[in-house]
Amino acid sequence: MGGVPFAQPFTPLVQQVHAMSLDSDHSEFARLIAQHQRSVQGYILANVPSWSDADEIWQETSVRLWLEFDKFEPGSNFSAWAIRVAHFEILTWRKKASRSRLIFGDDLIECLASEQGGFASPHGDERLKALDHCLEHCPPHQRDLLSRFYEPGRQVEQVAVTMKCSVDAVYKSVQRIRRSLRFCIEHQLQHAGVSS
Amino acid sequence: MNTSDDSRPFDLVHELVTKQLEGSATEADQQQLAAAVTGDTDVRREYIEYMQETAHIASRLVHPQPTKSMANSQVLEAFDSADLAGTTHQSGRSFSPAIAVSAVVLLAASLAIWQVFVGQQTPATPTLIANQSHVATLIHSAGVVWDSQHRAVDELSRVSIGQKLCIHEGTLKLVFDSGVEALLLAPCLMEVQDRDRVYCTYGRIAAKAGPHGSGFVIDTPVARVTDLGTEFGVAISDSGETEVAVFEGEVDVELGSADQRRQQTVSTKREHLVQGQATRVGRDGRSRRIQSIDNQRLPGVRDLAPLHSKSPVIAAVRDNLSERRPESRMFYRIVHAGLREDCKAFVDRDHQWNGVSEDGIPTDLIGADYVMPFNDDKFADDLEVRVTVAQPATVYLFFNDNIAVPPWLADKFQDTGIDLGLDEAAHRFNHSRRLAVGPAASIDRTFSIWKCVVDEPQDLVLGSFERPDDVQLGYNMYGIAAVAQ
Repeated sequence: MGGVPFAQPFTPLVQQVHAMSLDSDHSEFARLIAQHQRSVQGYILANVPSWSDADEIWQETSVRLWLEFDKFEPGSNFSAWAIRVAHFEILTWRKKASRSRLIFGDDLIECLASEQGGFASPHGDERLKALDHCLEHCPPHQRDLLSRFYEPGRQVEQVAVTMKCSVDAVYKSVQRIRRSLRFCIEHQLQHAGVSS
Repeated sequence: MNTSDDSRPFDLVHELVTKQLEGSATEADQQQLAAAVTGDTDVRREYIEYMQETAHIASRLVHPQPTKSMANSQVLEAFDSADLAGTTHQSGRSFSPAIAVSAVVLLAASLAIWQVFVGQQTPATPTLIANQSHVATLIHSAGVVWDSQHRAVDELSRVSIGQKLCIHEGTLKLVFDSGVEALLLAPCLMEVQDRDRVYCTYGRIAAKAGPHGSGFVIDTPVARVTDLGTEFGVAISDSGETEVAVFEGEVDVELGSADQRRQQTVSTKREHLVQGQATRVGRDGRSRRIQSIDNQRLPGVRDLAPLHSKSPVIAAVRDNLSERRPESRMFYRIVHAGLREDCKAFVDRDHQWNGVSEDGIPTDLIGADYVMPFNDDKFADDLEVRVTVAQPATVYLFFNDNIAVPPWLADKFQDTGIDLGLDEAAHRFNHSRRLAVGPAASIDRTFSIWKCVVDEPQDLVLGSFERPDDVQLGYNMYGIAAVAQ
């Protein structure tokens, strides 16, 4: 997957927004969402590990962010603010979803809420950049397997048929690839002088 | 590579999260994961990093898929779309694939915006240049096929006055700077005409106005719909015939095309619709009642996703009130796969269905198709409600316990002995009511659940009932639900 551009943090740009028109503010806001949506989606998925439910909450969060964009203070931590908004959308969703499906208990939700800084940290951004690099260098057949494995609604049995292997082999391969990606991330961060 | 000790939290998290994502996790699996994350800081850190990576990998690698709406057949039936020939392109997304494609586009867009803002030499894409005519933002698209003759718009792009959005498939969600949220459902052609006004040639639009969004206007070939602080849906057929349904609040509908309205050729010029009312405006500028509206065909902006994707069980609902009260505009709302805790019970009240105990709504009923009748139906004598059941099913009827059981109910249905609760919101007869969240909270009325097995598709005829002796205590219309056999 060559040539995917990475979002670059550029704080000075945010400060310029003060003097711009409302429309410029909206455009800047779009840029901030594009830059930080992966952190927010990671937080949502940690609280609600289901692709469809997480998607539903992300859509609600996205709307809420736009409706409350005038409450965001330019120059402050957008990612942290967006994750707080996502947190309240998660709580709202949980109230509606309770009893209808298996959801995490309050303990875990509160625990993750206390760790919001971990999702919105510069270190987290560095990790995801490193992951991008690792994915670029991942063999095509491994990327193909991951793309099939994480496709919403796709059964692992279907992946096994497509890949002409057993279900167990799919699980083990995915675990092995994820481990190697983790190793690659750590290596990249050490190489760049960023330690966890 | 990690040592075996180092990889232990990773392996634990990987195994348990994988089960969660593929939907095979048991309650014990979930509790094990929750206990490990909350009780062990190493596992917690591992979990946070793992979930960030998982969301990121999916966003980068999973390809977008066009959304297959369950309502496709109804859409085609309703709009008999014109020739859709021409090259189109996909931009379908959902959360996991959402970022996959959009990340590239959006990040490229970010760079372009950056270049404009900091005054670099490279000219930016025209759509990204700060422009005072921008009045809305496209914040989400799903399964979209754009018309080749109109400009495709990427997620998080700004939309200008004069811009047309034309899609053959999928949905778009816009947020106007005025605070109005709008959901467009294909096939749809809509032009943004002002900061608070759009013209829709054909298609379906659901709109929800925030505190400052009142006054939002949707013009159609045969009507003008003005929001008065509300959530409503508009469906326009290829011929221009326009349906308007109010889900919350109220709207004004001016009847007739712009020319007809100017010439005042129609006898009734305007209708004021409130929550629970709907109208269909024909090309002659005259209106008539719509009996039932399906939430797949005309969803609300914030509707929860259906709980499953099985075929609809309840196809239509109609009654005999139009014959006696032609001016009536009340509609029945059919909600597919939607019965769950805190779901709205009636179109003209905000009351909610809930389980009477902590166990919640009976499991068999979760995800049932259900009908939101209008609660004022309870006042109608000789009411006849025809429910079209599209496949073999068990039909449930929720009947207020303080009302005498009418013969039609006792004859056709059997009391299951199980109850359902109604949590009442404030309404004109009782302003002190407050809604609560979840089962066994603020249950104001108890309903008995009756059931009837329907072996083949048919119209099930339901009737009216007598007012209770203790009418001062209040009572409610019955609810209707169905589950495929």
